[in-house]
Amino acid sequence: MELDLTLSEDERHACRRAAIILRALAAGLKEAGTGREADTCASYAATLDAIVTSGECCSVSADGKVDVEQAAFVLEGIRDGLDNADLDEGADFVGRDVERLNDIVFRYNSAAGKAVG
Amino acid sequence: MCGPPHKNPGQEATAALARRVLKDHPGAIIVALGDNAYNRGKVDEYRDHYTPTWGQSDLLGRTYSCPGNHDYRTAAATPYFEYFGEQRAGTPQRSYYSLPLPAAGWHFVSLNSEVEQDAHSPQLQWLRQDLAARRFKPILAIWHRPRWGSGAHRDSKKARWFWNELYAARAELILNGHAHHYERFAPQRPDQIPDPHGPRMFIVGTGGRRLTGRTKDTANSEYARFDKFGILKLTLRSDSYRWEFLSTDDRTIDTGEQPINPRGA
Repeated sequence: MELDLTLSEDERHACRRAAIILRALAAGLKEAGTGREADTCASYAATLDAIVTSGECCSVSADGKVDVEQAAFVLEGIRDGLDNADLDEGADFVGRDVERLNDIVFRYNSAAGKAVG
Repeated sequence: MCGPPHKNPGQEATAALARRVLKDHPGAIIVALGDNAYNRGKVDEYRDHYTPTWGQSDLLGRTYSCPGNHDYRTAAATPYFEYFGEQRAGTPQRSYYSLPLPAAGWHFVSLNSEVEQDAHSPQLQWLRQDLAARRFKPILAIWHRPRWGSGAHRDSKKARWFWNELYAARAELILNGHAHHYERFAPQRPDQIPDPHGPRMFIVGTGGRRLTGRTKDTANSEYARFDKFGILKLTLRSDSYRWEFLSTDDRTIDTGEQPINPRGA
């Protein structure tokens, strides 16, 4: 289901930063020899890039929404890792982006519910 | 919690355990905490994995659910809502609901953590009205993503909106899933300050999906297990509630009792 969502500036910045982290992670995973996970993380980054470049009003597919949610889960792990290492500022920073990505996911789900009604 | 057996090794045993418990409690209901059919909550996944275990008529006919994030990997979680039906799950348009538990004198609220839930959302406005209309009843609330936890997915800040309303209403119990372990918290405020009259939260993600380990010690966590499939048995009375976490080998792993919160007349 393709839905048009209006994204805030905060949400687009969160997507941009998340894509940067995911691309770096993908590169690291590839170098470490886990190719499949690297490609998957890169595909999440590509979805986020597409959202950023489409501007304030953005068309999101069901698969694209799942990519955003998966990206948020990967970032949750990074947030938690930073937190465990007492790198609090970084954890808070990534944590805020997780929230913004989840905002997009929850808004998509709400809109999908209305659309099937 | 139900899916391909190699990734969901506990589903048959927990359904069998529920059946054994229900023999002595014919009036009891079952509460499912979302992500009931992996990996995308599709029609065939409910049919092939949920129906043979937790979806048998003796269990399904008394099950009330909330949706999980995996259920929303189909368009608007439509297969999930159609599987459980409007009375036990709501609808894609109105995916939250409440009902009285007359035998216990409690009020049951099922919320949706997978859609908008902030202050101005229709869901939160509905919750406020629903709780205000039942302010003299003890309250049990469920949704999928926990606010806190010591395992995977340990911090979902969005749930603070639900917590604020439930704390203000002096709710007794909150049940969440999402993370695949069991955890019990002390009663607390939405800002994690201990409060004997705050809601007591449980994570019960032990219905079948592979379990995950501890990642952190969380404030107010009183007990957690990361290695046991099982179910949480709650006995709700007009003046108190009792909890028992039962593992699939018929052991009582965690148990306790607490009076309900005082309420003004």
